[in-house]
Amino acid sequence: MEPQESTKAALFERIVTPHVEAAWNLTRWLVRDPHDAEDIIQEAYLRAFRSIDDYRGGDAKSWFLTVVRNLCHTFHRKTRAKQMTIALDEQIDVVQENAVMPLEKIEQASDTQQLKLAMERLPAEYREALILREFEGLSYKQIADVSGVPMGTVMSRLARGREKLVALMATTVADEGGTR
Amino acid sequence: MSCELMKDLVHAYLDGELSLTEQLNFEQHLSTCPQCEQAYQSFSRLREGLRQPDLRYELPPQLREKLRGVTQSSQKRMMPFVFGRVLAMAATFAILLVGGSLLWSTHVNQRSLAQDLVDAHVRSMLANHLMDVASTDQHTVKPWFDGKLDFAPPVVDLAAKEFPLIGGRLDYLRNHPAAAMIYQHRKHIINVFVWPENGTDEAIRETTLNGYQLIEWRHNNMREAAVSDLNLEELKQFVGLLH
Repeated sequence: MEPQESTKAALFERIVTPHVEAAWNLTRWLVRDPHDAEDIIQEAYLRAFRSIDDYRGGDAKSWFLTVVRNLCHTFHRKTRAKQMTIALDEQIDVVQENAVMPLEKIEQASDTQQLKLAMERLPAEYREALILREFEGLSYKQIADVSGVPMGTVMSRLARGREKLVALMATTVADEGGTR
Repeated sequence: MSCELMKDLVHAYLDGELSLTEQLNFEQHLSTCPQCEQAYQSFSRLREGLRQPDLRYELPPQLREKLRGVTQSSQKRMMPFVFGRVLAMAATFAILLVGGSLLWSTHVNQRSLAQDLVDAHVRSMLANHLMDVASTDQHTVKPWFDGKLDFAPPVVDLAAKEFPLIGGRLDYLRNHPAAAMIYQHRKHIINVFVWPENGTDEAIRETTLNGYQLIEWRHNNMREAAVSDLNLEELKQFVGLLH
């Protein structure tokens, strides 16, 4: 029994452990409270460990991130945490049209703090897609797998997410410049 | 191409999700359309901003330790670190694993190629991604690959057998350019991927993944794979004809 047990541990070490940083980053972005995030990632780790039999080979990162992502969503459903989906649509839409590309303002997108705030204000599904794409480098197919939506939806979430992000950045910059 | 169409394509371009042809078309459009070029520049810059390491949440070292504990405690079946349920699960789990783990680990590498192939097939079905050259004539499709690939893929027409060749496409698999020949059977599309891979001939191997059928083999130092949503019997019949 011992060899298989260690094989399993080694397997888990090889399959899941390399993605723990990505999993933590995703969890923190999807769940605001660090303590809740800690609980979730521990649960995710444990579930992945227990259910490694369900893993059908292929893309381990997507597989593990799916476990994490689903736990985050369950958490939100349970706590009915509304804070992650602040409805800013109206506000965003106002600036949307002329916020297409204020180039010089986007320069300031390199301001980390502002970007972070803007990301936090995005609707959760856009933020999720952007985190998976920009931070974790997942392909559309992989994001589709993790989020459980068709690839076309992934494409439009990324497009809308980036547009809103640009719009939000433009608003912030405009606010700071006292022009609004 | 209209700018309206480009609005979403700029994202697919930025994300490297376009086919070679689409990419070239898009770049050509960019060079003639300042508006789209500006959009592209802005989103690129946004991306640079997003990729700053400061935006990532770093895993705290204590948490990393805790996580290590999660698996270790359940492996050794000592007091579970976080959840009481582990203990009960561990016994069942261990039994399942004995049989599963070895078998499973040998599957990992094969599976990922299968996944790559199915992904390539699915990708090809998206947004006009299917063909770079549309032709029912093998004498058009075959020369089209010349100069684009460092090998000559076998192109046959099976129209008489109700599997007409409808076109060809360049793809990229296993870090190597691959030829994709597209065949049709009734309403079903079959992608046949071919790329060089040295080795002795291998008999066909069937896999089902995400609802797609996959048959792969090696012949004359070419790795070949047929992927489709067609049922296995008909796909096997098709591969038999191709062979």
